[in-house]
Amino acid sequence: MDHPPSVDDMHGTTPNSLVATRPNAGRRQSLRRWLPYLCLVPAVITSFGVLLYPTLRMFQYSFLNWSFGKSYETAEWDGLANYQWLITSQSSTLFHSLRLTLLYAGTSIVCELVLGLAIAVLLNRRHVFGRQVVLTGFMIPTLLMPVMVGMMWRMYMYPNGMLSYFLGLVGIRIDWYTATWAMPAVILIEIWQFTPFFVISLFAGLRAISAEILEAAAIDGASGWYRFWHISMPYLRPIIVVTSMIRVLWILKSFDIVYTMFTGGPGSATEILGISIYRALFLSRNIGRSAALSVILAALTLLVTFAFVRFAYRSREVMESATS
Amino acid sequence: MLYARNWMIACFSLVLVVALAGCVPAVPSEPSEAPIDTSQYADRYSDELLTWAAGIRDAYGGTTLNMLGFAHPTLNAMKAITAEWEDLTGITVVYDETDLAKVRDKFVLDITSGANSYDLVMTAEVQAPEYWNLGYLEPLDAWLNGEMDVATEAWLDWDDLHPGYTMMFTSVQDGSRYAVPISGEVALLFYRTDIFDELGLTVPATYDEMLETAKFINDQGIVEDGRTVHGISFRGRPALGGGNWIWSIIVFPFGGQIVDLDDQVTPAVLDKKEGAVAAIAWETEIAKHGVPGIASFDPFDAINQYKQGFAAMSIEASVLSPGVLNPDESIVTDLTGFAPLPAGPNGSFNQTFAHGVAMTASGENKGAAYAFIQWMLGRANQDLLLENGGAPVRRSAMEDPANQEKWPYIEATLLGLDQAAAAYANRYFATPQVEWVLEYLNVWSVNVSRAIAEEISAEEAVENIQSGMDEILAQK
Repeated sequence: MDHPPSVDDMHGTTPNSLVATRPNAGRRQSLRRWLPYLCLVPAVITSFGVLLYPTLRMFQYSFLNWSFGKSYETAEWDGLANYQWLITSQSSTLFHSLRLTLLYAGTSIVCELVLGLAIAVLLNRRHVFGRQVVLTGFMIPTLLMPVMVGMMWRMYMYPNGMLSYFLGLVGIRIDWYTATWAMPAVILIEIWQFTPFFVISLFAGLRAISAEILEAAAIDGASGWYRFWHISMPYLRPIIVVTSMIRVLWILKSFDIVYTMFTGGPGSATEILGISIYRALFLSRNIGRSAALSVILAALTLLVTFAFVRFAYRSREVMESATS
Repeated sequence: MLYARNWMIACFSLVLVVALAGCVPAVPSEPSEAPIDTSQYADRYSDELLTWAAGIRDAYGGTTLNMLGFAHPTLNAMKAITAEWEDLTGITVVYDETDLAKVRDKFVLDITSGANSYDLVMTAEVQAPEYWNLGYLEPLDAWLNGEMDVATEAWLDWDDLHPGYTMMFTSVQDGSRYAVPISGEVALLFYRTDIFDELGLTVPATYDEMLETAKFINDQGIVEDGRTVHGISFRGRPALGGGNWIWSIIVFPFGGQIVDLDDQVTPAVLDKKEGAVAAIAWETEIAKHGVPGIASFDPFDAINQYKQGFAAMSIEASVLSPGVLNPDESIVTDLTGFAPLPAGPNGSFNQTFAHGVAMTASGENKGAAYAFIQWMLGRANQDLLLENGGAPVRRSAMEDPANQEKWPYIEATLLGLDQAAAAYANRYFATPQVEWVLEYLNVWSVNVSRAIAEEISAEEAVENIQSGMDEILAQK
């Protein structure tokens, strides 16, 4: 044997001496090395076709002056004009939409997280009657189509709808359809629909924490709050980061609920980025501007995702250094 | 063993798929050879119409027409009598129904993707100019002039269709006609006769009076069966995802304008700024005396508020009148009066918002499609449409005293149409017939809506409308 045994050889059943003497051994070894990459080719091609190509085209469209409804041949290269218009034009709603999107996403997710965590902790207590039923019931809003949720809440929040009626019975009058209340209304709906997502995820995380650790801490005299903050929370942190990140990705692309409820109004009170993109494409018929807005939304999403991933890694490093 | 079972499942699935595929006819059904018994239709259609339908059956029986439409009472009325059409002519009609805000997107995507799925498309007047400017619609003139495969019958009677409707589908530039109106609407004032009588109010004759009336009623704090009755209800949400409906109607009576009256293209809101501002200010002010949330109301929200007794007045489309008179939907059936819109400082004008059926330029069954259009517009069938909840489009139908008694809103509708005709005589068109009409509408819908929501002032809204429309024109 004139070479040391490779890992492949060691895992195989054939003795190394025989491998060396086979005539096609080199070719076979080379095939073995490249086979995984070859197997990946269809997936890479599909990913390129389905994900990367449309994204690149969208990026390209953002530099065009092209009207929706006209053929691609009529499109003209317009450089950075679409971006320039979005940033400088008085008619542009970019910064207004960005502000509303961040408000909508931020408020919704913080409320969902806090509520979700509270409910998960309550459900994780030792004796909770009908826990499985409650958990299953919690899943229902998350499973509903956002358009249907929008329509349903549109009726509830009617000036004389069911919610307004019941609030009226306790002396609370809220005109959800007005510019003041439209944004809180859609945030409330988001919270209603997606808090269960946090509840389920965090509840699973809480159940995964070893009861022995918590009991040991209790024996050592740790209070309930101390156990929650210093034992449960570090375990939950990765779950919180991942679920929050998923929600951010969803909510930044929101459209259905706001469109169904208010189509961005009254006025422009709920004109989040998703609505602006729709308006730019289907009402202003401007493919270039719509694509430019989409690129900005994609950049924002990437930025937030990057921040979350950084935070997740840092949390992990902190945890690892603490445990070592 | 597992391997064999998987094979069995795969084979069974294949057989099932083939069997199911066999249930679906691969080709359109052939026209029936046997003549149908038309005696059952003798009391509904004239001999002339039945003979004509038999001829169409011979020529086009077995054809399937695909029609893209949007939710509308007249579409429901059409559907109600489509089975008879299919029975008489052997031409099947498949309706693809969406809503008004989405029908344009769907149609444009269908054409631009090359699918060309539709023979007929239901279009609102605001959508039609874009379609015909892009070549999506078949011009009807050659068909109407009898130069094509299917002759135009005398009972189509084009001239009996109200010009307020037909001119919505007629190009201002070259006079070509692109769609035949099947329904139309004009803005009407719906008002509670009982409340007006009780408070000693008269139907407002001017917009100022209307504002005072709304304020007066609202200030009364009327509560009926636990419901607070507000002064007014109307739609403040952009119509069609496009223009602000009320503003585009009242801007002319208030002395404003949208585009240059001569070329009908150049934005000219600032040329008559005072009127445009006054119209927005009026809409903003009267909304304060209405049901809370008007800026978010679509037409159905607005009329539902009125029908359920939450508003004493409503400015809404005449086509929604049957619902107000339907006791299954409304609690103000016997308490409603109908009136044309009041006058503004510049006069008494209205706008029509027509819906028509057009033939697509890419449709493959144009003969059958034109026959269908004619049939739906025959005088006899106009009555059938009315009976099934559709809106009248013929002057003869609207002037018929029996119809006026049967449908109390028709008289006011006719007066509203005359107001619209007066507007058109002055070249006051709320929907400029340009390809980019929806872009224009989007600009003023957003800004008027923002003004009603009090995000910006009426002056700012008008300036934004002018600059926004200028920007659009500059790009063309």
